Amino acid sequence: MPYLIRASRIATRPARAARRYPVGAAALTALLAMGLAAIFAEQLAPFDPLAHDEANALLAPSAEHLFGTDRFGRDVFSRVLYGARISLMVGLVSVLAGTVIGTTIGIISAYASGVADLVIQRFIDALMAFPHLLMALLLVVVLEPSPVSVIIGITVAFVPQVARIARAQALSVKAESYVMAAKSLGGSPTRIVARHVLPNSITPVVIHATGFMEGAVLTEAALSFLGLGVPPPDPSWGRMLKEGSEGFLEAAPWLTIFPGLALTALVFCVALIGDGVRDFLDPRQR
Amino acid sequence: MLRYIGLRLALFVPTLLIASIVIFAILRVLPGDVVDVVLGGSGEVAHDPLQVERVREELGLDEPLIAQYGSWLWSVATGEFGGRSFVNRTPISSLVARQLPVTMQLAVYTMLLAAAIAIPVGIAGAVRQGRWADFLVRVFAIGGQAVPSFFLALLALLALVLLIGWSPPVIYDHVWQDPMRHVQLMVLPVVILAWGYAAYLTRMTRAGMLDVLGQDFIRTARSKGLAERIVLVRHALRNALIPVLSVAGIQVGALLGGAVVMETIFGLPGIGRGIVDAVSDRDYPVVQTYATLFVFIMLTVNLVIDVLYAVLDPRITYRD
Repeated sequence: MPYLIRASRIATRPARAARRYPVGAAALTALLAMGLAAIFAEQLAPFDPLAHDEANALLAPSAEHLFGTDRFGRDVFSRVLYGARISLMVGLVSVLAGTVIGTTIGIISAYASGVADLVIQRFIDALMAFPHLLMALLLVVVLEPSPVSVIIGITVAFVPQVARIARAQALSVKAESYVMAAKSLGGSPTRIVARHVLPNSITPVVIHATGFMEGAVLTEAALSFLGLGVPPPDPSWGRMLKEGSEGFLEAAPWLTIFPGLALTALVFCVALIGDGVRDFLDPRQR
Repeated sequence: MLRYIGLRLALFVPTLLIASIVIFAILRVLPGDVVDVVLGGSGEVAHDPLQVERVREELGLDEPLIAQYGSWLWSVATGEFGGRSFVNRTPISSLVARQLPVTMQLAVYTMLLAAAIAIPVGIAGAVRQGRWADFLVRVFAIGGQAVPSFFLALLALLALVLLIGWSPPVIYDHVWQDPMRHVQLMVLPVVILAWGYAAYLTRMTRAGMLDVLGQDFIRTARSKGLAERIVLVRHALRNALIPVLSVAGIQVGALLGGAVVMETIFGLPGIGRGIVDAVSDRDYPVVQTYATLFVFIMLTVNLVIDVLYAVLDPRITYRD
C-alpha cells in the first residue's frame, strides 16, 4: 500500500501537502470549520434555534439577526448552525456504516463464489435498481421519520453499490500472486482476507466514499425537503428550505437562501475533497 | 450481440421480481401493523373494528404473505397495477396512464439535453486541458454535482419572479395539447436536472478523451493527415464514450430522485410526485406499484445503455 506511506507524509507535513493539493486542503479546512461550528453550535448560536418570538417574525437580515428570522421569529442563523449537525451526522454515519457493511458483503460474496455469490449478486442487482431517494424514502416512512431512520434508509440505499465495488476489487486481488503465496504458506482464510484482501480492496471504496457522502447529505436534505425526513422542530436545512419556500419565497427569500447556501457549501467541500482524494489515490483518473 | 441482449433480457425479469419482493417486504414485513399505519396513529389508539376489518380485507391481510404478494403480482400482470388507490378509490392503472408519461418526458428531455451539453463541453475540456476553457469546464462539472437541484430550482423561481415577473404555469399540459405551455412548464426542471446529470457525463467525457488522445492510434490517425475533427469524433470520441455510458447508467438513479423533487416543486403530475403523495397518505397499493415502476424505468434505461455498449465497442461480446 504505497499510498499509506504518502498519506503518513501528508499527516506529518501538512504545510507541504497543502501546497501540493491547495484546493483539497482549503476544502478540508472549510469542512473542519463546519464540523466545529456544528459541535459548538450551543456556544456559537446567538439565539435558541427553537425559541418562538412572534413579535420579531419574518425580520430581514440585520446585525442582530444575521440571516433574518422565520415566521415564528426563530433566528435563521442559529437554525442554520444547528442544521449542520443533522447534515454532517447523517452524512458521516451513513457513509461509515454503508462502507463497512458494503465492503463486508462484497468481500464475502467474492470469497464465497459459486451459488452464494450468484444469489448475493442477483439480490444486489435488484437493490441497485432503486434510486437512492426512493429506497431511503420507503424505509423512512415505514420506520417513522426520525434522524435514525433517515440514517438507516440512506445506508441501505448505498450499501449495494459499495458491495459491488468491493467485490470487483476483491475478485482481482484474490487472483494476485501474493494471495496465492499467502495461501501456499498455509495462511488461514480469515488471515488472508484481513491481511491481504481487505487492505488491497479498500482503495476504490475510499475513492467513492466522498461521492457517497455527497449523496447522503443531498438525500437527507431532499427527504426533509419533501417533508419526510427529520421531523420538526429540530432544524434541518432541507426542511428549512421547504418551510421557507412555501409561501415565503418572495416575501422572505432569506429563509430559502441561507440554508440553501449552507447545504451547497457543504456538498461543494465534500466534492472538492473527493477530487483531491481521487488525484491522490488514483493519479491516472485526472 | 443478439445473444448478449438475450442474456440481459433474461436477467431483467428476475431482477424486477426481486426488487418488487423487496418493496413488498419493506411495506409489509417490517415492524408496525399496516392497518395502524393506514388508519393513522400508533398502536395505542383503538380503531373502529369495522374500519380495521375493511382495510384488512382490502389488503388481503388475513391471507399468507405469499398469497398477498401473488395477488398483487397477478393484478400487475393483468394490467390492473395493484387495484385501486386507498385514498380516492381511483384505479391505479388510470393513475399510471396519467402520471407515467410526465415522468418519462421529464427524464428523456433531461437525458437528451444533458448529452447534448456534456459531450461537446467534455471534448473541449480535454482538447484545451489546463487552459482557462478547461477550468470553466471543471467549474461547470463540479457546480452541477454540488448545487442541490431543489435549491437551484427555488433560486431560479425567485430570480425569474423578481427580475421579469414570470413564473411557470400551474396547470400541466402535454406537448400535444398545448405545446407552448408544455415547454414553459418543462424548461426549468429539465435545465436544472440536466445540469446535474451533465456534470458527471462531462467529467467522464473529459477524462475519457484525455485517456484516448494519448494513445498510439490517435497519433497514427493524425500523422496520416486526417482532419482534427475526424480524429476527435470518429477515432477518439467513440472510444471515450464507453465510460461515459456506464456513468450515464449509474446516474439514472440520481436523475429519477431529482425528478421526484422537481415534480413536487413545479407541480408536475408525474409518478415522482405521485409516490410522495401516496407515501404521505399511506396509500400502500399505490406506493407498491409506483416504487416498482421506478425500478422498471431504471432497469429499462440500463438495458438500453448496455445494448449501446455493444454497439459502440464491437470487441465487447459478453461470452460468459
